[in-house]
Amino acid sequence: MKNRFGFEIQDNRQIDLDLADDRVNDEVSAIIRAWRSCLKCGNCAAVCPEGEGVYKLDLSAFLDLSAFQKLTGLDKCYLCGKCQLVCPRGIPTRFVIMQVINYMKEYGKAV
Amino acid sequence: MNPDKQSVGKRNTVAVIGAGPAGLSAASALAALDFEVHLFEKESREGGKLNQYHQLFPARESASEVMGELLISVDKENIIRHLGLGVNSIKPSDGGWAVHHGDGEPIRSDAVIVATGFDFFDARLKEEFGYGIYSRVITSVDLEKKLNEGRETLLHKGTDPAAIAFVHCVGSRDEQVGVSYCSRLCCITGIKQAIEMKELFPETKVYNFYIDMRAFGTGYEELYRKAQEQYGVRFIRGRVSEASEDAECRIRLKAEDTLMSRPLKVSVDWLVLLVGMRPGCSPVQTDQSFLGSDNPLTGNALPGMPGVYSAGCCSGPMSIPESVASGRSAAFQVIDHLNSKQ
Repeated sequence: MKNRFGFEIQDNRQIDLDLADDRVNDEVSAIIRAWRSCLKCGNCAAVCPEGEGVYKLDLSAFLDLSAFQKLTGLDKCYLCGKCQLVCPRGIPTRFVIMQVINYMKEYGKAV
Repeated sequence: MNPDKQSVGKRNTVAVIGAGPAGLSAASALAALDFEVHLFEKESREGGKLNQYHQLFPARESASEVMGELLISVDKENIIRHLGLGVNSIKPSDGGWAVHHGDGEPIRSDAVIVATGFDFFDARLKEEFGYGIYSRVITSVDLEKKLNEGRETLLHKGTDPAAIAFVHCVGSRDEQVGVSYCSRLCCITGIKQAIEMKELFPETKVYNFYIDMRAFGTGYEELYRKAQEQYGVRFIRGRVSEASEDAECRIRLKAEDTLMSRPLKVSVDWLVLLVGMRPGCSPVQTDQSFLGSDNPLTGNALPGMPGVYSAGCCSGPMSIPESVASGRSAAFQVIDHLNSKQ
């Protein structure tokens, strides 16, 4: 949105690892260790029929809470499991998505 | 070998220049085949760069134990060791080669194996990382030394480090410093050292900044995955663009997480630069480049120098098992060469 001088001010996109709130990914990757080995190959996103769910999750085991909050499409996941069939690291992606949704709710910032 | 033909061996002398893993393996193989071997080493002891390591990837053998094994293999009476004696040049002589060294008459040999190894990239050339300027920026070689010296050398003001970052490809694949090739072994070194850090300091956050992960060898990819899953090492694709020191002497890094397409910053207690491999100097080199070969796919005969072979990292970055194999292979090429002369 432009201010009255005609400039746009964008959100700071910089990731600050010193301040990152890693609670969700710490807890989920403690349950599903394989999540940490995500190669970010994009195979899961490419087969996603929804086009929003896992695609937005990006399967990064290291997103911080603020990044998760922006994953507004995650609750649209059908849990069809196509992503799980194609994952080269054998990550149980469907389970990851369910766990992420649960932990986001627990921390009061549901997706 | 043809049993009817008088085989090469006892009557023949071979000079091996350099007593690192490749030179030691070549000398050991030649001695087992009854050659007289002159083994030259410019340093005061054998081992080369192996002496600077702590544990070896991927199975984490102790470097000093592997060194001991290699030393036993050259403990043979037909190996004459010249320690602390560098070779200045080799010149064709009487169908073989005269090896001119720093002490007295040249030694005549029928064939020569050049195993002069490599140098580590000088990390000061990448000024943006601040090596040699900030005390908490070290190289992977410095870290091996610290690991040998013990855990306390890695504490920050008496406490465990909160975060450690590794930068891959320092002096590899970087035209800015005139290095176009991949040094191959820094990726797996970074994985191994990240695991070692996590073992010493389980609560410490460990980040590896990489361009591509090239875990090519047997057991390397498995170790990579173990670092991620079991140890929680975080691999971030993107190169650290700059490092600066804060008031507490911690190092602040800026990078781009290229998979997230977002800039990133982080403070760490140690910044470890995974330095690449550069050609060393050898008596057969005219410029600073890795030694080429007449037959790169099938052997390592040096161009225009019949009977002279390269072994190990003087011809390009190699792991220890590759260097050992290359040394033994050079020994057998010497036999082929001498047989073909008969």
